[in-house]
Amino acid sequence: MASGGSLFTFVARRLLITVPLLFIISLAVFSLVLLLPGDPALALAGGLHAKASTVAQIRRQLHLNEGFFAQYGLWLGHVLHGNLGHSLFSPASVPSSSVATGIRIRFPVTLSIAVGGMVTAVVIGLPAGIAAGLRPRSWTDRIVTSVSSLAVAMPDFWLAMLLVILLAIHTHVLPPLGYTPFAISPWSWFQHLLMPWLALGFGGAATVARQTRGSLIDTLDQDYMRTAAAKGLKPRNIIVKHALKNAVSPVMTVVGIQFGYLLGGTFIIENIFSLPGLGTYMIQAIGTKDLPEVQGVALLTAAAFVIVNLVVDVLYAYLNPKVRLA
Amino acid sequence: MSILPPGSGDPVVADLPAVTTGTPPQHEDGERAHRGGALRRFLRDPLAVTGFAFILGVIVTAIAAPQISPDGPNVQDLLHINAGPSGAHWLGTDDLGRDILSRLIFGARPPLRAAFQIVGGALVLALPLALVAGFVRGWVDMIVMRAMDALFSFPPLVLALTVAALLGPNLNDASIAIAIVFVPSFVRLIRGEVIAVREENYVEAARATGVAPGRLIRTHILPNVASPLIIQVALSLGYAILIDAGLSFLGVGEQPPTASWGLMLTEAYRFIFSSPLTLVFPGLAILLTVLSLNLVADGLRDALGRERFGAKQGRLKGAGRTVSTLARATPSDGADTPEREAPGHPTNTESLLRVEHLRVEFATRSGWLPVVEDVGFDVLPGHTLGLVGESGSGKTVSALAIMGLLPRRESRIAEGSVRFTGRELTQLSPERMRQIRGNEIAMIFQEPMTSLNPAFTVGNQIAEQVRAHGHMGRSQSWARAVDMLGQVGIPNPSRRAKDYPHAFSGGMRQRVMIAMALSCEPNLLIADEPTTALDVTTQAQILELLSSLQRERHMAMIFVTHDLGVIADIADHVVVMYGGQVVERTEVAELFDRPHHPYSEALLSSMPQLAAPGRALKVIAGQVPRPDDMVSGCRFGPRCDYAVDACRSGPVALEPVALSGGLTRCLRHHQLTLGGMGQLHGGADSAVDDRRAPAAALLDISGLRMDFPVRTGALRRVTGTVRAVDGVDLRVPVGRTLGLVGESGSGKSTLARVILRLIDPSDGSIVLDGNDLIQLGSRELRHHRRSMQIVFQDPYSSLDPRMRVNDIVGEPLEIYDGLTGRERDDRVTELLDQVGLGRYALYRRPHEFSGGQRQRIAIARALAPRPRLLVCDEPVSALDVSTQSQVINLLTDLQARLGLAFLFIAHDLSVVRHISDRIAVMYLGRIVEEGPAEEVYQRPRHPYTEALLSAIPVPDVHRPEPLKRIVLTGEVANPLDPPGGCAFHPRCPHAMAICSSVEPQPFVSSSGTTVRCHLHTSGPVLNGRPVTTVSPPSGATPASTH
Repeated sequence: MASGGSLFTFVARRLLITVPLLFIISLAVFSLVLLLPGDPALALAGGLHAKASTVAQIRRQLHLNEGFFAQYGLWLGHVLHGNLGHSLFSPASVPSSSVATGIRIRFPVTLSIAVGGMVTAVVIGLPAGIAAGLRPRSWTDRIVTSVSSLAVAMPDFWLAMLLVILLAIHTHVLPPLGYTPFAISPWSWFQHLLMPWLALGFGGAATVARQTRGSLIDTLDQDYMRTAAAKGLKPRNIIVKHALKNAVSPVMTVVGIQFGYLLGGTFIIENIFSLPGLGTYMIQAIGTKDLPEVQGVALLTAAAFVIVNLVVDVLYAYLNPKVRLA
Repeated sequence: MSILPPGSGDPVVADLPAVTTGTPPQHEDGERAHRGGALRRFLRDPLAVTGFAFILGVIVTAIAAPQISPDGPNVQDLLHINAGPSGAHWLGTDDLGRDILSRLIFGARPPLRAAFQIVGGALVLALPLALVAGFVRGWVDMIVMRAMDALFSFPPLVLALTVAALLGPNLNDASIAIAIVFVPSFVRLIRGEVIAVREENYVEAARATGVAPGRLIRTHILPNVASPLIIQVALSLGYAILIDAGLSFLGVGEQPPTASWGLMLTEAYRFIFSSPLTLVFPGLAILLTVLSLNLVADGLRDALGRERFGAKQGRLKGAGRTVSTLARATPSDGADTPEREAPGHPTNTESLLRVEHLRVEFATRSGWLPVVEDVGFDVLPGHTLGLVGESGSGKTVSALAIMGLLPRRESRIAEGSVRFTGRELTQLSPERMRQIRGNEIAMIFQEPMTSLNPAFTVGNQIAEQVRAHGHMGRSQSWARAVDMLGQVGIPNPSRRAKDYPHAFSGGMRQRVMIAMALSCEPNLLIADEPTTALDVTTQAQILELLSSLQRERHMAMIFVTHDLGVIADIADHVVVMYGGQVVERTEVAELFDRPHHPYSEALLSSMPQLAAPGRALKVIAGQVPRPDDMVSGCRFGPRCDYAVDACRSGPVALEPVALSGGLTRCLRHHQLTLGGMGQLHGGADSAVDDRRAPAAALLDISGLRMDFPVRTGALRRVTGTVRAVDGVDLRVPVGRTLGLVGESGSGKSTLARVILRLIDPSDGSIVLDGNDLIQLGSRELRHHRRSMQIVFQDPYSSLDPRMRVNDIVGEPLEIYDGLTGRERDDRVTELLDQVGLGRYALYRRPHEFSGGQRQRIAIARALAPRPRLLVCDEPVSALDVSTQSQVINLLTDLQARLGLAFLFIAHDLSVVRHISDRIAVMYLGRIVEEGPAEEVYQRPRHPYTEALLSAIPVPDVHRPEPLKRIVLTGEVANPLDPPGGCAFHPRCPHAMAICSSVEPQPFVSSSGTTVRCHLHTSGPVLNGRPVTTVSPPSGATPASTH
């Protein structure tokens, strides 16, 4: 029994699922080119009024004369070597014309926003959910439930704007926009990111709180909770040890999925606070239909999401011995 | 109506009145009430209704925008740019002088249109994919789900952004493409539901009835998938509005100068420093719309969710709120308990625990409702008190009350006292009570599978209890845990202590529970149905373990059970409970010899263990009353054969019985002479076994094999096979019953499913009435299915919760006889009548019926296609003792009248013996013994049969010494790695050298029994004598049942 349920086999199995998944994702990302109406090269170059030389250059750069799978093969080969291609429009002399470089510069910004938002969500949502779940229908529960209903329905970028009005325009507590790298000034970095974190984390916190509450209520109703009480354990021990470990672990899966929503939210938030992350990069790329850049960003965010969920699954299995058998 | 043999009262009718207590309502009324159920619940939810009204308002406003709006969306008032609210512009104007209110009204159109397009598109894409994946499974499923995983790997907004970017900036074109963002969650949800629904017994039953796949999806699967889907749609609409707003804000959705909420935010954002107020309105509009959709979804979830689980009424669980505050209300005036002093206690001074006049109440909508009333008993040190009664009698509530484990807010001890070693437990502070719980009084529960925490090792869970009571430190307590595991017979305890509960079987987990309960050396152990969920052989092991541990420790025990056989086995004193009251309290021998309450007599008489073969079982008419439906007189009165007018006049007190020392709650106890064990079952042995003459085979199975592949390791490769059914040969003659018994895991239920072709066998033949079912194509098979129907164990999952009884029972009639409308319902009424249900049941849904009644409905459905064979898979195991006999009598009666043949599967050997002509015993996928029922019972030839029989708890209280029962060691072997030779040899008390290497061949004895055992085939092995029956050689007690 023990061998079948070891954490190692579980991780190995999850990895084996993840690798083909990443390939399917890469295929999906590459297939984006098929969405372009008409002649892709012409569409990318700017439509009917594009210069013939630009069209030809794009066609050459993206190997659009080859068959679809040949194109994919060439692209994938480069991707596996860390080469995500070149921007269609920036001159090759600019270092950031390499998509990989462009992403490498901006990814830390996006990641710090998303991870910070996630931390905010957990730090607010988990205790709120636990407080509500321990006493369903109490005032605490009602407040948590109503606030989280509002927060889930609120567009995060709208909240961001309200925060700007409140904290930057009215009270000047925080800078309204811009970014300072951590290495230059951690304090300034923190100040610039606090509003994005709050804006993103609020909705996430609501989801986490709702999930925690439900999961805790379910757990408290389990037979083994009655056993714990029948054993004469101290009430606090019953809650902290027996209820929380079982209640919190399913919340982790939600946190993993929530990370995807946060990554998406980041793309809008960056544009509000003028943060130099993947979101602003992507919006530029979309404006100019810079296919390699769009593909690069899509591929990377998907991969990041997959990896975060892999980590979450492994943690989940670590907390739940039973899951390892599934 | 009377379809039972005379002399059995009128038990069938008796089961009825659960539906309504008064006259059955007109069915039109009933019909309307059910249709409106979910809707009414939804309408009673103020938040959901508000949300729904708001959404409707937004939709109407958007449609009627040109009529409602004060201005066009793009009409500019250049004199008022970025103006605040005024009479002309209620919400002010924007940077181009446009009226914000008008733009807000028109701005609702794009997001709403986009949301409906996106979600609608997602549904159109997802529904067929999910249905196919969930229904066909296999490769199709895998490919679909991997594709969904890939789609799901894109953060939704990034996917939408990318797609929208490449398709061009017009969101209308892109919305169908954005729909793919929603496809994965829809596919996962629908597929999950389809798979869950498919595994419900009612879908299996429909397939067995011959319902074609298309109809199955339409009538059984889609309606059950609909509720979660509607909820998901509401949530998705909200999220789609958010995505639309986000995309518009980023400039990849709607383009200016269109009015849309998202774009309005973008425009307002540019003037955030000068006129921040313009930001507020579009944001609020989005927030409120999405919020309303979410509220509607929540309301739907509550309204629709309850329907599905409505049947399973809240099980009592002490659970989380266990920090016991024992509410103590003012004692009532005692009107219900005229006799305050309960005489007849066993010598008072020495009792360890004394419960007196205990009254427990539960909170209901109409106030506190007594569930347990005037309960009292004593437990003597080192003795066992049996607490016996059917479900709902208040046994478990009484036990939890002693432990202080009643759910805190929903229940209270309203009256009475619980004295334990001189302390009044109901008065103790929560902390003092905690120190007693688990330390001086310990408790074990019915469900070993769910009673241990899955997240901690069993050693940890035992050790923490020892530590909680301050007995030992960390390392000592671990050693103690290991020691305890050893004491309860868990092999290799030091290694097993580090395993998690899921690595133990049910019987082993119950041992762990016992180890835990005894870890602090309690004086009193409360065991709440500890063996009910276990196999009869495992039950025997656990009972023996409990008795020996009790003897060693001189520990007292309260043993709660519904099984009188177990009581006879383990208890010294017994308390019989009914309707929340003690109806009789006495010594065990007295109860079995001379019961003094009609209910006790009725319980004794309905025990299937000792029923005479071939006779109808005694039944108790009616069913256990609900706490809110108690009569004012004697609570058993309505079901009592001896009731007179006086019994109905008022509460009955518990009175001492002359010359016995016991107590009974019966007005007529001095007048009545009730029958004990001897009288009730006296004639059983001498009963002529009038088993019928042999008949031609209706079902003939040969060489049937069912292998399931086993996948292990990281690659999920097929590394082995489980032979769930391994070369089975069986015959069921026309109009006769073949009983099939074996422990759980023996392959009985798999065999049933294979016979019905719900799963395809790996090899062998199933000949029904001359047609080999294996050779038939799916269309022909459907045609032949009508001859063969199934009744499942779980009366709750075997009926489609959304269908009315006339549709459930009528479905086969539509398929086979083309009956519809009135004609069909008339036939359904006839069928309901056959199973003892009236016409009033026609338009009701399953959750309105009790377990026994549902089983009757399931039988009616099975009878509808006029089958010749009924496969009954543990049809009475989930029912109360009295209901069980009612259903069995119904089945025997139906057999006599309709000439049905039964394949009757059960783990309860007494029931099987009663109903069967022949019996087959199954072990690890093989039939080890098959023969005439009485022959198998009286002269078991296989050691396994002998052990099974010996494990039945026998209600014989006059044994000279503790029963010498053959307790099998160990458990059913791992089917992945079955032992070589005879699969039973590792547990066999008679195993010989040959048994581990050579598989025994069938041996047919002169009496017509076929047995697979080397004791019979390998000639005179034991003591030089030819072996005919197994019992004598080892000196074990012959396993005759008396």
